[in-house]
Amino acid sequence: MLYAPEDVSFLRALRARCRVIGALMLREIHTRFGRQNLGYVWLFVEPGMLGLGVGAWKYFGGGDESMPGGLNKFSFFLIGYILFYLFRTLVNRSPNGIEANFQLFYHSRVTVEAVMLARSLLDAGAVTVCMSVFLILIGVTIGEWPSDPLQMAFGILMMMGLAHGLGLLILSSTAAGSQLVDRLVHPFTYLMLPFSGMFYMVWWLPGPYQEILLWIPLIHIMEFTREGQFGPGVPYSYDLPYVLSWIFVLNFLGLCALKAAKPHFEL
Amino acid sequence: MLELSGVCKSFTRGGVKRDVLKGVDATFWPGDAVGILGRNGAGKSTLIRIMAGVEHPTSGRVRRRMSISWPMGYGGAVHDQLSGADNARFIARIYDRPVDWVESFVKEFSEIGDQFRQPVKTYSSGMRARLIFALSMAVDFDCYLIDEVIAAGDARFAERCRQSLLSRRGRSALILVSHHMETVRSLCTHAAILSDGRLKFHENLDQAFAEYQHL
Repeated sequence: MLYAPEDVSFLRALRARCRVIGALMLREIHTRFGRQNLGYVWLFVEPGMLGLGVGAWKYFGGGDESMPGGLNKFSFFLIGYILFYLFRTLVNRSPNGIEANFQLFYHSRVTVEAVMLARSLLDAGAVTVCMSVFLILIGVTIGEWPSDPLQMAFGILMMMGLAHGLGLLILSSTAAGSQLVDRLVHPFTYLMLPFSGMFYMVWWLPGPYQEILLWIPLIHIMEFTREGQFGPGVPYSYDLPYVLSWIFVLNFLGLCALKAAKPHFEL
Repeated sequence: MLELSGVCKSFTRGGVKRDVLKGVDATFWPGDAVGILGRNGAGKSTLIRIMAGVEHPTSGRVRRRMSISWPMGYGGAVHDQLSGADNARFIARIYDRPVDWVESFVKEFSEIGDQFRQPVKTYSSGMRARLIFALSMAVDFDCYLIDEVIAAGDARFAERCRQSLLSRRGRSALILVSHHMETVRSLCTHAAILSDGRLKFHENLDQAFAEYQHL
């Protein structure tokens, strides 16, 4: 016996949702990475290779200049790159969330919200495993272990929440027929790179710039996650209620926009 | 129960708004076997896609209080890059069915053979239709939405589809859209006519057919 969503208790509905999201994640892994080639490994290799490249380039190419506060360059840029990678991937991929998965919507239990959430969770999970692997490698080779891994995981989760909410908004506007938003997404993520905090920490900069940059939630997340790695010793600038408000508002608006855009979806 | 109330759907193409459905009201119960007749372009496919939840109405409401199949007879519902087996496992997970049982049931019922483990894009259209039909039988829906699936596949499989659907009549609802009266007669007990964006029900098949011919 099957139950439609309106028919069931909250817990049962929640379980059904979770099951659908789990199935979607498995399917996404299959379709994106296939059973052949490197398969599942590729999920972790791709961000890893890029993070490794940037990290190594900065480490060797940066010469003898030491980092302010004596931070390890390698882990500094690795964390920055991987966090930004998560943001960029989720936001860039959001406009085609419906087109790329149109077969799924033949199943009434599969909602656009579930598909998007499954994709975001999968990418966040991939990035978490990837970062863990590299941080363990750094720990083993250099002896620098994360001071608070849980804090770093929470940082990744916040980055996912932020990019997810923004992605929902972008998806809704493209689905409702706005080509402009679709075109602007890639330039936007490129332009965000210098404002993401990937290459610097806020306290390296003069005061007036700090104030302006701290309007951007990405920077707070970067600082928060880096504190999880380096621990006390250098100043960090972040405001958790500010970031969480951003995440909440973006997701709320995103879900509203998606609901409003649904009658305009064309498959 | 599947209930549509005041369902309207319009499409805008190049600034021109076209109303396909202009307020459809209907309720379907388990055990109903309804054929929906309509000429080409009357909005049959749009209607069945809204019932299935593939598309959302511009206004109006759809309430689903039983499990509803995807609209059969279209290419959707399966993923081309995945194998038949992976599709079966995915669908089993979504609809909370035993994964291994669904996989073996679909393998046997669809008679796809060794290609079951190959990506669906390598299938012939007949194999595809058989896979999609077998998947829907494995899930065991309360309500089946069918759009000319009987025409897909070879005659022997078409007959098997018909028998499977007939054997479910009484416990599952069956909603068939078609422009062939014969298809409706072979599977349905009631008929409705979709024309000018509205749905009109007839208790009697012959009465519906008579009116349909006058359209």
